[in-house]
Amino acid sequence: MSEYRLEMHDVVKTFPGVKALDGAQLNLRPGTVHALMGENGAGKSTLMKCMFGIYHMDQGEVIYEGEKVQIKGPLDALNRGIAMVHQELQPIPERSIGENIYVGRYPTKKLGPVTVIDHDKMYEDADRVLKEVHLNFDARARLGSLSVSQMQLVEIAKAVSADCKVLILDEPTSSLTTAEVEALFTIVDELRRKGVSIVYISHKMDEILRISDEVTIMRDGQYIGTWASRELTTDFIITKMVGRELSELYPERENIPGDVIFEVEDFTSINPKSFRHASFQLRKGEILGVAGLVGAQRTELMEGLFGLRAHTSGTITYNGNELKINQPKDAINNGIAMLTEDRRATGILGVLSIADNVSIASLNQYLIGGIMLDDNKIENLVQENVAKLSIKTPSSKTQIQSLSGGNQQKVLISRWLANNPDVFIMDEPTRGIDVGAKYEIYCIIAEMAKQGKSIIMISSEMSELIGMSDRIMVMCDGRVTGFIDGDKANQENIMALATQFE
Amino acid sequence: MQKTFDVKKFMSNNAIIILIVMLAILTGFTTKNFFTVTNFKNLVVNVSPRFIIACGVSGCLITKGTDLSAGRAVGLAACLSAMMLQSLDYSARMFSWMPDIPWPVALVIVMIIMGCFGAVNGIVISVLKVPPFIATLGMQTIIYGLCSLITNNQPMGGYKKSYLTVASGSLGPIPYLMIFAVVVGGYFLFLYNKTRHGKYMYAIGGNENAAQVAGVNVRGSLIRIYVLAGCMYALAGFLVGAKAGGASTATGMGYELEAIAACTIGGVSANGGVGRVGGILVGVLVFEILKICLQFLRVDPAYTYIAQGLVIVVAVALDLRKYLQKK
Amino acid sequence: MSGFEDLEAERMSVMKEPDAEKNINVTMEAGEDAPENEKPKTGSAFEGIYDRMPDISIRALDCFIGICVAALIAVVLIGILRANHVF
Repeated sequence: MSEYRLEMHDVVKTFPGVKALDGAQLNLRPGTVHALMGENGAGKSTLMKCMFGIYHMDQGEVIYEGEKVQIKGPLDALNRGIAMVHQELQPIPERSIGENIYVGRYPTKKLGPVTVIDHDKMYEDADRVLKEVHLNFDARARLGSLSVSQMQLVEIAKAVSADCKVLILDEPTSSLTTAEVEALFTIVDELRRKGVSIVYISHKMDEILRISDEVTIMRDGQYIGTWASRELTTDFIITKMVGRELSELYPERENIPGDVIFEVEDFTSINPKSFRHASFQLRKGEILGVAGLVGAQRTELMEGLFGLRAHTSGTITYNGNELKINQPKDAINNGIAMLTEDRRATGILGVLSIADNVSIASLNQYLIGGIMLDDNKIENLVQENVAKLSIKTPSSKTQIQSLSGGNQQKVLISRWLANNPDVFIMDEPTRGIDVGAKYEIYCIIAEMAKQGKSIIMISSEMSELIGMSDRIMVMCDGRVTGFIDGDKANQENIMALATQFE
Repeated sequence: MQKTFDVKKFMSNNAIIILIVMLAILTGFTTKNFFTVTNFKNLVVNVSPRFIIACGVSGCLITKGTDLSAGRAVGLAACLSAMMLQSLDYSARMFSWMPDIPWPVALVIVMIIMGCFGAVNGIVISVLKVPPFIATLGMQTIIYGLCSLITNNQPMGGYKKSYLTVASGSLGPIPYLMIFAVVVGGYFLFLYNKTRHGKYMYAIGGNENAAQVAGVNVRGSLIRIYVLAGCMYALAGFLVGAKAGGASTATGMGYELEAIAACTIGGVSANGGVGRVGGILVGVLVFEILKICLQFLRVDPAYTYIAQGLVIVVAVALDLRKYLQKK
Repeated sequence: MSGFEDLEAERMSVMKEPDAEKNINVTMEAGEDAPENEKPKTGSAFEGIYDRMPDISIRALDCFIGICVAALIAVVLIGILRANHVF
């Protein structure tokens, strides 16, 4: 009898263009809290979905209680005693808490010849389960009457109610208040004592170090290693997750900001709840980071400057000339480029080729006789960019949606560079991109700045802002609250400005 | 192992085409006069106007729209052509005051008129943001109404010789109709692959929001697409009238369904951003060959309708399958 | 422009704060996992219709296509046979 209750060996899972899992491993002991850590895209959620049968593994095996198994789906897993609390909640708010807990496995009774749901038993069981996890909600109350964090606790109750032997918690505290986190930890402790194997997926270093016994770290779909928590430090974990020394996270920047070339004054949206009275200056060859909480309207402001959103007042001055921008074409003609936040929705032309994606914003440059497109010129442009930005693709005719996120982003950057913009707005340029590609993109940004382009970089990653910006502009609730010099920036002063609500 | 997989994939992607080819072979061997030049010419002459209509609609489909007014537009174009090109000594002339107009002039006039209808479609869809299905459905009824008004519900005939020759004549062995189709095909091939308009069209179809961010003038492109479609319906209507020797308010009814279906068989996905002129031609051929084969086999036309309907359903299902596979 | 207002409705409403320690990521995306079925609410009735259909498995679709193709062949055959007065 192996010491492990659940093992996953050599798991490989590929999606078009992405190797999500490459030899991943996981070994769970009973009565242990086992943390699973890694950056976004490391493969943690994918590995769990493979275990659950939601994804079909290309290679690899799952061994449960000594036997090789193939789990066919969440309900099958639940029947075997493996439960999961997902990161993305899927509640049914119109129905009662009890029904949500037992969805898919309602207790039944016979009413004559017909089988019906035994509501009484269901609510009895639900009440008991809620008590077990120290929640005093009424099981008959509507789920929708609870707050988001309370709903998450109910999700946890649901998993616990299944009397499972393996419980997977995927970012369980993302919506919880501090008090609720404590409640969760109590539950986790009790389950551990009962002998349950718990997989705890989280980014939060302090929680991991507090609650877990062992830590497995993944990076780029690969298994990096497993360590006992008490032997670990934060720095060690970060180094293993990122794959390079902390000091090497961001490239050396050699750009020297020059004179002010771009100025925005009193820019206000037509939507009174959006950005208002925004003003800032941008120097040549400068990287201006833009920080703020979700909802600070940073994206909206930049979209306004680019002509994607309407504004009622304010001026944009570029090299002394005032610009009238009402649609993206106006901005583009004036040397402004924008890499949007959600490349799948507003960035890539998914079904089109890389060549088409790269050239679409600059087609006027490749004309023969003013009408016909010169395919050779376009091909040369693509090859130039593939080399310059290290874009990994089989050919220029490949559909862009089959590329990895990092490569897609590089194609989009190439698209804009083809116009030789002076001001380049980038909204979350490294979101959803693996660690290696992130570094490459930082290098690209640094190089662009060195060549005299001005970059506006919106980011929600504190370390990215601090590591890459010459200056940081902070917004809060639609207003610009302040500027911080790059070398003086730190978490505290950024957060102070980001939370300066009126 | 590799080989079997390729065959299977080829079969599933081109199932309909394979079936039709088999049907054609079957027909050729069991009936007389199928594999003849006359029959081939017959095929070409039937395919040509349909191909032109399908090319017109393709732009709408590629940008995730549609054009349900195509059929009635063809009808109106045929009627307008008729009004301008009736023989001077025809007793039942619709407009006795109409001067003698050379057919190229009449064609241009009709194209301008139908182009305007197309522009209205384009503006309603791109500026007023009315869904294309609804906008063109409305236009379909409006055009039908106008056609009824103008022709007073009288069928028209008695065309000038020069007009009739457009459909019946040939340049050597090549029917004039085929020349029209080839020119249109060549133009669309160039437009879709080698011009900015073509790239913008595919971009809008692929992801309209992303195209907008990239600076594409979405409104302008959409309007151009529907105007071009209107011009194609005009040309097709002109040719259909010449071929039939007459036109009425019933002309062109339902043509859009076949055109859209042909595009779908030919690879123009309902999900937008994809579609090639070669595929459109294949799609139109599939329909016509199916029709002709069943005619030759003396099958009751009712069965042909059902068969055509099934072909449409399979084409859409295959398109959906291709899309789901990618996910 | 309307597409962007639609996208905004999908943005997260939870205010997030970065952790006290040096952290790597504050974003909540599922990372580079499989292409999720995200579809912004589109304007037209038929646009992106394939995304809004109920989840049909490829097997079910294959079955359906098979049935239609069989029906097609059947219809053609019956038509031919009737035309030759077989029945």
